[in-house]
Amino acid sequence: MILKQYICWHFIDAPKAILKAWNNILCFSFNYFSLPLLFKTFFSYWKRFYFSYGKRFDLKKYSEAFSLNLMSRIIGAIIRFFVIIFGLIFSLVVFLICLIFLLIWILMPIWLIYLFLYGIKLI
Amino acid sequence: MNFNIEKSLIWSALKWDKFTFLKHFKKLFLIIFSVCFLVFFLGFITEIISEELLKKIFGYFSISFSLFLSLKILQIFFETKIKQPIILPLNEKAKNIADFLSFETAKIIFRAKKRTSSYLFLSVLDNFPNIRFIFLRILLDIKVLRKNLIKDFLEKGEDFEKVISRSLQIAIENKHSKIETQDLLLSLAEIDPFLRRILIQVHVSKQDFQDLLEWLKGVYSEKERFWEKESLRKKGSLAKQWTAGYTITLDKYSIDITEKIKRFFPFIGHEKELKEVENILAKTENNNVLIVGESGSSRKSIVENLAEKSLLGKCSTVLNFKRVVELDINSLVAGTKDSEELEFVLNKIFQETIRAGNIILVMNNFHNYVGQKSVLGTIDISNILCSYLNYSQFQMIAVTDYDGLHRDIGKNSALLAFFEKVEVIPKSEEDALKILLNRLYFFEKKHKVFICFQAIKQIIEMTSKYLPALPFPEKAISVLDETVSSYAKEKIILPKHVSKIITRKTEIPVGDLEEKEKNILLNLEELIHQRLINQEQAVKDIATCLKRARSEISTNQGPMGTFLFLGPTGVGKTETAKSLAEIYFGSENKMIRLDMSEFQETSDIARLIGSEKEPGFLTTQVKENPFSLVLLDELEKANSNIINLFLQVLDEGYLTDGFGRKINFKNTIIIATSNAGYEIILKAIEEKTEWEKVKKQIFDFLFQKGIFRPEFINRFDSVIVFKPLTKENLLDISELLLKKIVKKLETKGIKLVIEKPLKEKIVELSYNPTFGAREMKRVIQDRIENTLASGLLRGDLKKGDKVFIKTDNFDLEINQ
Repeated sequence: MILKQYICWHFIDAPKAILKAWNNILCFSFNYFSLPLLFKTFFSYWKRFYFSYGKRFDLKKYSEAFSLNLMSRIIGAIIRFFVIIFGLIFSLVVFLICLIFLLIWILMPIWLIYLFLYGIKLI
Repeated sequence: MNFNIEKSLIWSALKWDKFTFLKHFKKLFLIIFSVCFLVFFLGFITEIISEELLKKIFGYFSISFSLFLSLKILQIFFETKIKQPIILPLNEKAKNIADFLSFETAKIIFRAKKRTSSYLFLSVLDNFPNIRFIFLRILLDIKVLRKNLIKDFLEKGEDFEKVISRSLQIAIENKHSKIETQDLLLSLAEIDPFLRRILIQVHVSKQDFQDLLEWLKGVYSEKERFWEKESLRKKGSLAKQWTAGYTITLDKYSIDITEKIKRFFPFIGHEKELKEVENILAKTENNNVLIVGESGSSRKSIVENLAEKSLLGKCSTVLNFKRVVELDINSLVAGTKDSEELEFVLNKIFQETIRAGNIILVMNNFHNYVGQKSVLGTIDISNILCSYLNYSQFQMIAVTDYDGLHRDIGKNSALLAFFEKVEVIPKSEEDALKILLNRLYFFEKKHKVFICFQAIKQIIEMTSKYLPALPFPEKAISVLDETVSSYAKEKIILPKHVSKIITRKTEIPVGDLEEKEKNILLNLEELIHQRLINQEQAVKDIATCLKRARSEISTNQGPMGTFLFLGPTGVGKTETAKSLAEIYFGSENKMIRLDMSEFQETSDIARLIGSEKEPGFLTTQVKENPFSLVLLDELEKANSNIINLFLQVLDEGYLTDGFGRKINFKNTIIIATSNAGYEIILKAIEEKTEWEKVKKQIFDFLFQKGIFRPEFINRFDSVIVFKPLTKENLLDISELLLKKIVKKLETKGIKLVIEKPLKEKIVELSYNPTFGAREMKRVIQDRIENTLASGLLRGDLKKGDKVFIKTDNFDLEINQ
C-alpha cells in the first residue's frame, strides 16, 4: 500500500509540482526582464525622452529634433536589445536547469540504489 | 457519532509518525558524508592519502550520501503525501468523522490516554508545542497548568464525543477544510471545565481565545517557497519602468510610496474602500480619487496597499506597475523663493507626471492647498491643478478630512467635479486588534518588553470607550506606543499600565475599581451631602444611577444618567451638578454649562451643534471631553426646536452635529434645570400640601402651559423636584459657607470661631423662600467677609489670633 503510494507520489505528484515550479520560474524570468514589453516598445523613445518639432515648420529645428529623437530611439533599442538577449539566455538556462532537475528526480531511485551499492563495493 | 481513528484516512500517517526518529539518522548521515567528502577532496588534491584509502573514503561518502538523500526524500513524501490525505468536504453526518482530522489534531487525539476532554487537553499540552505561545501571551505557565490539571481536574473531563462534534461544527463555521487543532482547542475552551475555568481566571473570553488562535496560525504559517508565484512576483521587474519617462523635478519634491512599501505592516480592513479607489482610477475619465475620512482612520494605508498591489501586478491591467508618488508640497514651498517660482515648479512637476505615464500622484491634507484663503503662508494650487486634472493621463489621489471637505474643497465645485469621493470609515475593533497584534513584535523589539494579550485587549476596549471621538486604529496604536514607552522598565506590559495611560489621557479614573473609588461610590450620598443640604431624594436618585454606571451593569442606551431638576432658585440644583462633576469626573471643570436662555431662536441650533461658519458649542466640547457633566441651565427658556434636539440625546445617547458626525453622549451625565412652576412649590409649602401631589401639580402645569411635552419629560431617568429650604436647612448651609472662610483663615494662622447665634443672625437676615440660599451668600459676603478683610488690611488680625464675630454689629472681637 505505502509502496504504491510512494510510486504514485514520486512519478506523478512530485513531477507535477516540479513542472509547476518550472512554469512559475519561467514566467518570472519573462516578467522580470519584461521581454514581451521590450519587444513591443523596441523602437520607442528611451524613457519617453523626446523633443517637440514645434508648431510651425522650421527646417533647422525640425532636423535637430528629428536627429535627437532618432538618437533617443536608437539608445532605447540598443539597451533593450541587450536586455532581451540577457533575458533570453537567462530563460534558456532556467529551462535547462529545470529539465535536468526533472530528469535527475525521475531517475533518483535507480541512481541512489546504484550509489549505495557502488559505495559498498568500494569498501 | 461515527468516529473511528484506526479506519480513518490519517491513520497511516499516525502509524508512520513512529519513524520520525529517523530524522536523527538523516542528520548523522549528513555529517558523515560531509566529513568524507572533505577528507576525500583534501586527500585527492594533496595526494597525502593512498589511493586505496581514498577509494574507501569515497565508498563511505557514497553510502552516507545515498542514505541521507533517501531519508530526505522519504521525509518530503511523508510531509506532503502521507500527512495530507485526500480532503473530503466537511459533513456532520459523515461515515467516519475521523476522516476530517488534520494530522496534528489526529496526533493529539491518538496520544490522549483516555477519551475525555481533560485527557485531550493534557495531550494538547504534551503534543502541540505551539500552545506554549498562546499561554505565555495570556501569562500562564504551561508547567503549572499541567500540574494543576493532573492534580485536580484530570478525572473531571467532559464527554469526548461532545468535544469532537463541536470541533467539527467550529471547523465548518470557520470554513476550514479539515478539523484543525485550532478548532479542537476552541471546542475544549467551551466544553472542558478546566480550560474554561482558567480562561475565566485570566479574563480571556472565548472570542479572545479565538483571536489568539488566529494570531498563532498567522505566526506559524508556512514559509513561502521561492518558486511560488507570490514570492517570485515580489522580485518586481527590471525593465517595466523603462517605458516610463523621467521625473526629475517630481523626484526632488516627493516621496516614492512604491519604494517604501517593503517596510509596511500587513494591510487589514478597508478592502471595500481599496476596491472603490481601484475602480475609479481604472476609469478613462474622471479618474481621480478624493479619500475622505477622519485623521487617524488609516486613510494612507489604502494608498500604500494600492502601491503594493500595483507593484505585484495584482490590480487591473491599467493600474499594474504604476508608481505611487506622494507630492511633498511643504518641501516645495520651502524650496522656492516666491509664488511665481512655485507655480513654475508645480507646472513642471505636473507636466512630468503626464509625460511619465506611470505616475499616480498622492496629495495628503489636500484641503490645505486648495482653500481659497488669503492667509499669509498658505497657498492655493487649485487653478494650476484644474488645468491638469482635465487630462486622463494625470491621475491623482487626494486625501482630506470632513472638515477640510466642507470648509475648503466643497466651496470649489469646479475642482470637486474632477474627483470621485471615497469615504473611509474608521476601522472596526476587530481590525484594530489584528493591527495591534501585527505590530506587537515591532514594539516589543524596539522597547525590549513583553506585552501580554490582556493589555492589548484592554487598549482596544478602553480606547473605544474612553476616546470615542478618535478613530481606530490610530488611537489604539498611539496608546500602545505611549504605554510601552512609559513602562518599558517594567519589562512586562499589563492591563493596569494601559489603565494608567488612559487615566492620564482622559483624567477619568478607569480600570478595576480600586479601594478608594469603591469607598467613594458606596458613600456617594454622604459625599454629596458634604456640599449640599437637604434634597435627600435627589441625591439618592443620582447616587443609585452612578453606582449602576460605574459597576458597568447598566444596559441603558443613552447617557450614563439624565436628570431634570425642578424647583425654585437657590435650592441647590446647580450645586448638586457641580458636586457630582467633582466627585464623579474628578473636577468641577468637567462640567459643560449651557445657559439655555441664550438659545431662544431656531437659528441658535447652528451655534449649539456647529456649522460651516463655527464649531458647535456643545458638540465640540462633548467630542473633546466625552466624560463630562452637561448642565442645561434654565431649559424652559430654550427654543422648542432646540429642546427637541435633546430627545435623541436622551434616548440614543448621541447627537448628529452640523458636519454630519455622530457625537457620543453615552459617557456624559445630563442635568437639565428649570424653575418653571416654582410658584406651585412655594404655595404648596405654605399650604403644607402632600409632596407627591405637588409633583403632579407641577407636571400638570408644565404640560398645560406647553413648557415641556410629556414625551420629553419621560425620557429623563429621573425628574427631581427640589424642595425650598427651611430655616433649619439654611442654618446648616450657613455653617457650610462659614466653614470655607474658617479654612481660608486657618492657612493664615488665624482661628475664626463660629457660634450658633452668628449663624442664626445670618439666617434671620437672609431668609427668603423665593431666593433660597442665594441671599445668604450675599449676606455672608457683605457682613462677614468684608469685616474680616478690613481687619486683615488694617493689621488688627495677625497670625496666632483667635477671632469672634459679634452678632449685633458684626464687629471683630480678637483674643490674642
